[in-house]
Parts: sequence; C-alpha cells; structure tokens
Amino acid sequence: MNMKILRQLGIILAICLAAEFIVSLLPIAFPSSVTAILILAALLGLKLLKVGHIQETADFMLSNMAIVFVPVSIGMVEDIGLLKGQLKGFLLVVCASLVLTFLGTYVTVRIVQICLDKLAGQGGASDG
Amino acid sequence: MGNLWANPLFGIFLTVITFYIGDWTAKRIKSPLANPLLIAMVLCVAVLKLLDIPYKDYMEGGQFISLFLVPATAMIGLSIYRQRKVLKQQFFPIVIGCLAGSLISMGSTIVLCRLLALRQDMLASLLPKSVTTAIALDLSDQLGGLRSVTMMAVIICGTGGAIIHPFIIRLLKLKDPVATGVAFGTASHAIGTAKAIEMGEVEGAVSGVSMGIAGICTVIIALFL
Repeated sequence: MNMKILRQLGIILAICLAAEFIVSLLPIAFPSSVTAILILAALLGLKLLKVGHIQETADFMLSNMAIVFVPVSIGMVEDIGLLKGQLKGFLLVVCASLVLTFLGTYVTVRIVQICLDKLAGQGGASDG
Repeated sequence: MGNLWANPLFGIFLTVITFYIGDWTAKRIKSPLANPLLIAMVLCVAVLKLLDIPYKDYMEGGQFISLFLVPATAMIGLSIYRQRKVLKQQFFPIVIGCLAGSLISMGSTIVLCRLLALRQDMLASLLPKSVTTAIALDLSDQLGGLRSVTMMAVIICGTGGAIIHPFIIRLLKLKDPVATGVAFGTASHAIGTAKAIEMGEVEGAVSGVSMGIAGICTVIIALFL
C-alpha cells in the first residue's frame, strides 16, 4: 500500500513537471495547470496510463482540492488595503458580473442543448 | 515562541487542521455558506490575528500547500476522462456556453466599471477575473492591471461563486448537471470546480473542462481589446 501511493504520487508529479516543461517552450503565456489537465486526460485516453495507476492519490487530491487555495485566500485578506476608495465599486462589479456570467452561461448551454435536441428530432429536452 | 510560528510545519498544520474542520462542518451543515475553503480561510485569519502571527511566517508552511495547486488541478484530467461520454455528447453546448460566458464576464465588467466610473487600471485588473489564477495574472499584466487586485477578484469569483451559485441553483431550481458544470467552470474557475466536484462527478468534470476552454476563450477575446 505504501509503495502504491508513492508510485502514484511519482506519476502525478512527473505529469506536472512535463507540463511545466512544455509551457516553458511555448511562445505564449499558457497556464501549466491546464496543460497538466490535458496531458493526464490524453495519457488516459490513449491508454498509456490506467486509472488504477493514479486512482487513490488522484481521488484524494480531487476530493480535497480546495485546500490548495487556502494560503492565497488568506493573502487576499492581508492585501485588502490596495482597494482603498474603490472597494464598494470593486465588490459590486465582481459580484454582479459573477452572477450574470453564471446565469448567462447556464442559459446559453440550455438553449444550445434544446436547439440540438430539436435538430436531432428527439423532441424532449435532455434533463438531468 | 516567535520561531515556532515561522517553522514551515506550523503553516502546513494550521491549513490542514482548519480545512479539516471546514470540511467536517460543511458535511454536517447543509448550507452554501458552510464551504470548507471559506471556513478554513476565516479560521486561519482569526488564528493569525489572535496570536499576532505575521502572514510571512504562516507562508513559510503555506507555500508548500500552494505548491500543490498544479498537481491537484491536474487531477481534473481524471474527472474529464471518467466523463468522456458526456463530454462527447455535449461538445457544442459546452464550447458555446464557455464562449458566451467569457464574453458576458468581460462585457459586463466593462459596462459596470464605466457605469461606476472605476479607474482604468481597476478595469484592466478586473477583466480576467473569471479565469484560473495562472491565466488571469498573465492577462492582467498584458492589459495593464494590478496583479494583487486581479488576484483578489479571481479569489472572490471563485470563493464567492462557490457560495452564491448553490443559492442561485436552489432559488431558480436549476437541474441540468452539464449546464451547471459549464456555468461553474466559466464563472468561477478552479475554486468553482472544486465546489462542482462536491456537487457531482458530471458537474465536476464538465466544470474542469469548461474552466480550461473559458480560459482560452478569454485569452483570445483579450487580444481584441
């Protein structure tokens, strides 16, 4: 069991390092996290990696993902002074735009789904 | 005593234990406000203020937690692989949703900033707010924004989204897991995705993909600004 977790962690870190390397070669700024997501999905899709090779460690990381954002969110609280005089406007813009984006995206996806369903002649909306 | 707080183990311990308490609480109190990240953040800030520990000391350990940002987000690749059938079936709704969401995010930010007469550098800092940290900071530089303001907007969109979106979902009785996933990923990047994963495997995987696609859409739209 111990060896298994070590091996899984090794594979995961190797994928991340490969992503960092690829990003360093790109002429444009592209995030390494998105690159690592693509590499992992590609390796699994091409059957070069089996789910079992990373499963336990990956599921642990997936279910506790939000912990990696704790330090940076504390840093934000520390830096709040930068917004002096603009705080209300800042919060209003961020929150209003956030809600608009969420609803607008949801509605767009539903419209496209319903249009595609109609085109396919299936009639009913794909409800989940 | 001062030396103890600067020991990296302290920052790691505080983060792990507060997140554990947050997670434990969130599983028992079914409220969108009971969010593990939010509880951990509040508890950490409270401990640091009460014991008068500098943020710098906390970060001696905190930086090790932050280092796992890439490995942890990379695991979204596994969710994507597990949900490949849904993604194939829903390819167009997801891609068009991400593009529309990115346009709405940036468009509404421009309009609202003008209406409230915010400074130009604030507008530039706020434009990339809905995308994942790494892309947002690069875009902020490119547009002439302030990095730490962008960082705050990104974090608020993430944590705020993880709190507000479940309210909206309940209020409007939104049921489609694919549309929910796209909306989470497009509006609230990786932090929203972490919440979407808690809501369900389909929501989580779709949100993970959408976060990537929306990031790319935003980079492309920014080229025209």
